[in-house]
Amino acid sequence: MTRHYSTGFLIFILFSIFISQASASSKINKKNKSFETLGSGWELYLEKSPEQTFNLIDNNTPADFTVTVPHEWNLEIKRFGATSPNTYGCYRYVCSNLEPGTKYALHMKESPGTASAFYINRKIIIQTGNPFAMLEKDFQLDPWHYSPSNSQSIPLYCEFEPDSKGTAEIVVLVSNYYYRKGGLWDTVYLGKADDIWRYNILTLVFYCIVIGSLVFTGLLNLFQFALNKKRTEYFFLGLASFAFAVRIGTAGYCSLGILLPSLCAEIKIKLELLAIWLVPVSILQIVFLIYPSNNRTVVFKFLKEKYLRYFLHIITLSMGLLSLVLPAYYSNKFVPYLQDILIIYSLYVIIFSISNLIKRKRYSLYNFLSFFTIAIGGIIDIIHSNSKETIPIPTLPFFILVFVIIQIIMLAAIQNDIYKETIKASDDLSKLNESYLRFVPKEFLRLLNKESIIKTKLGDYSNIEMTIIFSKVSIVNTNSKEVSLDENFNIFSEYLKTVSPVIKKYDGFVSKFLSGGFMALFPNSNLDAVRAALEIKDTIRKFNESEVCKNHTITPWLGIHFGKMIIGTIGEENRMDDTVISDTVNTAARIETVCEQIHKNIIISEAIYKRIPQEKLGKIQLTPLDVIYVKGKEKPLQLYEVHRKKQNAENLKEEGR
Amino acid sequence: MKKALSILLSLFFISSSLFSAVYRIENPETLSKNSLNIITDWDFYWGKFIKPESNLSEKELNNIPHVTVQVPSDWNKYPFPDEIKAISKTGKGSGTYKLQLTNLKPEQSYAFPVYDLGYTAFEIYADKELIYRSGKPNEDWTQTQAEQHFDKAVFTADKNGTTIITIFISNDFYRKGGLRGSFMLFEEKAYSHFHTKQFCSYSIFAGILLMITVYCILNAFLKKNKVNLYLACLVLAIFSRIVSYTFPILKTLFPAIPFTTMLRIEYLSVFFIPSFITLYINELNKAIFKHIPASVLAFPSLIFLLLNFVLPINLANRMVPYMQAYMFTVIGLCSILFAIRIFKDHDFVSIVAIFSFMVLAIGGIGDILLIHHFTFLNGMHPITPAFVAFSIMQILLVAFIQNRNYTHTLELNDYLVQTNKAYYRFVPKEFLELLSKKDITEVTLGEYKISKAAILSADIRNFTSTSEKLAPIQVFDLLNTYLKRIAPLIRKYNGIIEKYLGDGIIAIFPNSAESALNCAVEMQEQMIELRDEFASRGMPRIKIGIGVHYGNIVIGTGGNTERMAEISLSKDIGIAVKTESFTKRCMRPILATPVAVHIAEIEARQNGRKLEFTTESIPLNSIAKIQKRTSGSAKKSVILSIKSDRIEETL
Repeated sequence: MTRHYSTGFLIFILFSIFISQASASSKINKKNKSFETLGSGWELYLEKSPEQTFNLIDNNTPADFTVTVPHEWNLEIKRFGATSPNTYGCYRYVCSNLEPGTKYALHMKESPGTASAFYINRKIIIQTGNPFAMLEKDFQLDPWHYSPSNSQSIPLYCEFEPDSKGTAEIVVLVSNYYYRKGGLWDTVYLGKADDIWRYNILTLVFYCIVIGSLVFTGLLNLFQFALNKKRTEYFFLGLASFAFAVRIGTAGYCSLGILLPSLCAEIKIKLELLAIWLVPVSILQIVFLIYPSNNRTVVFKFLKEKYLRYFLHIITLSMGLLSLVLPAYYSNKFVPYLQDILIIYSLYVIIFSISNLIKRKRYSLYNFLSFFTIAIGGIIDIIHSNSKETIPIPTLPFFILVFVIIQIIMLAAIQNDIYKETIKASDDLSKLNESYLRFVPKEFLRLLNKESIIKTKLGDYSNIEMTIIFSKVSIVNTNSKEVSLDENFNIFSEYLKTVSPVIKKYDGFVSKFLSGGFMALFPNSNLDAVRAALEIKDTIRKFNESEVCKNHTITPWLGIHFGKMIIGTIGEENRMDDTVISDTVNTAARIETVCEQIHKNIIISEAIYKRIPQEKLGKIQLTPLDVIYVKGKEKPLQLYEVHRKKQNAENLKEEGR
Repeated sequence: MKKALSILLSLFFISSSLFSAVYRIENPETLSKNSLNIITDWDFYWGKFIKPESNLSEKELNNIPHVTVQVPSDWNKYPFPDEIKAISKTGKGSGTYKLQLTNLKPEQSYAFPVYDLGYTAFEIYADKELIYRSGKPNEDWTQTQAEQHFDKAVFTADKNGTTIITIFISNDFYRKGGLRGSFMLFEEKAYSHFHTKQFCSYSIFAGILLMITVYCILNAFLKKNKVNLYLACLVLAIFSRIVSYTFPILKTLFPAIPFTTMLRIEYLSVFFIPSFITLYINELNKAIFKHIPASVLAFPSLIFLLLNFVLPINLANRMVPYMQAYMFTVIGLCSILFAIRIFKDHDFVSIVAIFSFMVLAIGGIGDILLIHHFTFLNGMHPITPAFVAFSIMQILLVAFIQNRNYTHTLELNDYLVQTNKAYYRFVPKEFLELLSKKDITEVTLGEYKISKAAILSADIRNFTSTSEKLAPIQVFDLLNTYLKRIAPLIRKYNGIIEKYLGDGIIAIFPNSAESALNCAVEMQEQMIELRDEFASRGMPRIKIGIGVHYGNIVIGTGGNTERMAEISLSKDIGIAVKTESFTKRCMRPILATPVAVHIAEIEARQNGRKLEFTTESIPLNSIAKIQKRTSGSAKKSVILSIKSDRIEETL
């Protein structure tokens, strides 16, 4: 059910973002009528300074080329006879029918590159970078030359007033210092100053909100990673988010350039490139962290998927790192290759996520949706950067935002599911633990001085002196019938239930259940065992009268002894048991046999007798028995019978009646 | 005192000159890069719109109530005669401000932001030209049409570098009136740069807050907890403040929003913040609001919220100071309570939380100072970055707490798995299998099952006396090495170790005597090897005796609910043990009751096999009387010794 809710919510969010985007763009469109793009009809004077251009115009010399903006001059350069696009030239456009005295504005999302100067009616009104350095005769193009940087790339906005006739002659000097493409490469918007200003600001606000969102996402994910180092997918998502944020802040509408006006264009282009190589690697890693590769083979036996992936990573990362190290003049030439690799990555991820979707793996829908979005966004962006006519508005920020949101939802869902599953597993485990714990000899392990049962190992032992009760019961049918196994078990089981609390009451515990008896240990005091034995005897008297053992009489035989014992764990690593190894146990067993032979319920050894201070005995009476030679013992044993003084008297009275 | 003096002085100057208020810009060059916040004395004329082109005589001017005041300021407290003060102290009224700026760059365009310059409608003239109009101000202030635009005013200095700024303002509902906003002068280009930069940073802030909100709502949905929900509402309130106050991005996105609606949106944040901050903190640390329930603190803001939408704007506006007082009281209270908690808890959560509140408090104090026209930090509004820092810290805090819970659960689970493994070693698994229980949780006390089975009892000869000569660690090493070798054998023959009794083992082989006997043979066979192994390690060459019997047994669980154990009960078990004890007397490695061998023979015949061993009868008479008596239940008079060429003849 929760899945449905969250999917519904996801759709709602996407929808609302879409609506806001649509409403923002619809506002732009409405205003679009009042401003226009200056597309066709630009004249291009290659390798002419503005002064030369003005002279040529005044002499009515036709331009070298007539071109449509957005325009890259690489083709024209070849026809012109030059080889490198790193040159300069002037573009000219004449606007007429403008209202005199009204403020107009020119706007380009990305200033023409890499440096430019705008002249309107032969008067310079705005300049980006330093385009004039190239016009100097002794100018040498030096790729390693950074400071001072002549290039600048920021959103361009300038206001002007047309002349009294309502015409404005726009001449743009463009100098390309390092980029692989040159020219007036972005759409030029012209309109009334207010409208253009608003359009500019709206674009800025939209881009910056997206950047803010991505920066936060990056921060959050890196924080999550810092908290839990095992979850590297958070690290990669954080990295990707930051790379995306930087990309949106630098590519196209360079809002980073507004925040940091001194940002050098050569560095800007490297930041811009960051997204192309860092993001694919990160995203592919995220995918394979969520769905660990089963190392499927591709085509050949030896060509494992993993190798293919690492091969791609190595190529991309090495190109990316090179692009950071090399001057922008060289590194921007990697872009087409990196874009090709990006397409391979997209295909890789899309194929993988579709196959996951078909296999109906968990979270595959999230994955598929997000990658589908980013792939479409990426493709649109590539089309946009190659031909601005087909898709005029860059939509990538929107797609990226959606992608990141879906990824966050997915990671949150995964974490949440793990959390819930763990809680459920813990519940089951603790139930299981409870049932296991009943078989664990807790008191015994406590005697072994182990803080935690987890630390108990096979062969752990401890030397200890304590009292042992060795007990058996004889169950006799009052009608002299043979006791069936069922009856035997039921009565014995009830007997154990009755006796266990008594033993516990006197700080003892049952170490072993024997066939028809038990072995109990009393680590604290001798008297405890004696008292427990007496109470067992009393309890059994009541027990004999109870419903459970109708027609049956049970008689407990309790042999009590004290001595040194070695207790420890024996068995195998995965089937352990506790045990007591000592002659004391054997002696106790012999004493119990004596009980049966001479029909005394409780008999203690001399070892105990000596240790019980007489003044503490109270109502307990200890009667010495004849010296008995116990089998297997060289020395004879002096034994004592235990009974209550008072009760004994009462018993006698009863018998007397 | 100073003010009164300046008023007296200005009164003196007014009588001599039409434009007494003059502001000389000291460094006009700096305006191309930085803004200049002009805080100076302006002329103010009450209730009259003195147009720049009008040539009023000194006498006429003197008839208009006028003072010289420092701007930015509210006219509520201007020193006027009492009958004017009665009006002006409500904020309502109209009037003209005048200032002459000198030492500007000649012919240079200058710009200044006008968003909240004057309340609530105003016109700005530079020299004689109308350069900006916001709404429709009127000398009769009840006719004011309030409006607000997020815009700038631009003027060009004359040849001498001077400009007279005339601003006409009227206000009919706002609780404070006059030229209230900072007069920030830029060169036009510098303004454009500054403004775009502001847009950039505010949008990034807005983006961050928006994403935090989205993230919180998502979390609230996924984890179904209130912390995230309250935090989402809190951040949303902060977000609404940032987009509507001082730098209203909202106004840029939707220029059609009316002035009053913008005000209400702005107030929304003030109404929301205290309640959600309280509820959020309460969720974060339940111990904080032990004495004052959080809902009690949060409740008034809901009333304020309702009033904000219901009341007319002028009343809603007048509520704001109370609301602000309430907000800062709540924030302050929360900070103090949190600070107290720190001394009690010392945990990371409280420290981060108190730090974030400190940031918020500093931002809030800065904001209040700005409202009351103390300028610092170049006129920046510290509340915006403070809000964003606060929100980020909160979200990181929530993430931290969630992560802590998450890892805690995982650790707990790890611990459970470990204890589970540890406990499991003590669970008699095969035994429970005999009870036909698949799941151990189903096992209850007192369950039992009666079945026919072969019982094998094995014991180490003279173990007690042997063990006395060894160190305890050697005893356990010896025993465990022995068991490690024997136990797999018993499993191999589908037997179950019922119990370890010191050095002895009792094993049960359900429904098969043959396998029990075969197992016994192989056990003795293995013992030959084991003895050599022990000998090589300098340990005693231990020998075992094995007794096998076949009969009915009952197995089940016994003890009490806390300490359960497997128990088996049968006289036949006793017989097996007894049979084993005969091995010592007879000096034979394996003894079996005739019944066991007989059953084994039948089993072998059914499966078309021959027994892998031979037997030899030993009359029981040859064994001492005491055994005869105790083993009376076994009425057979003979016992069989199992022989095989693989094992030693005698024990």
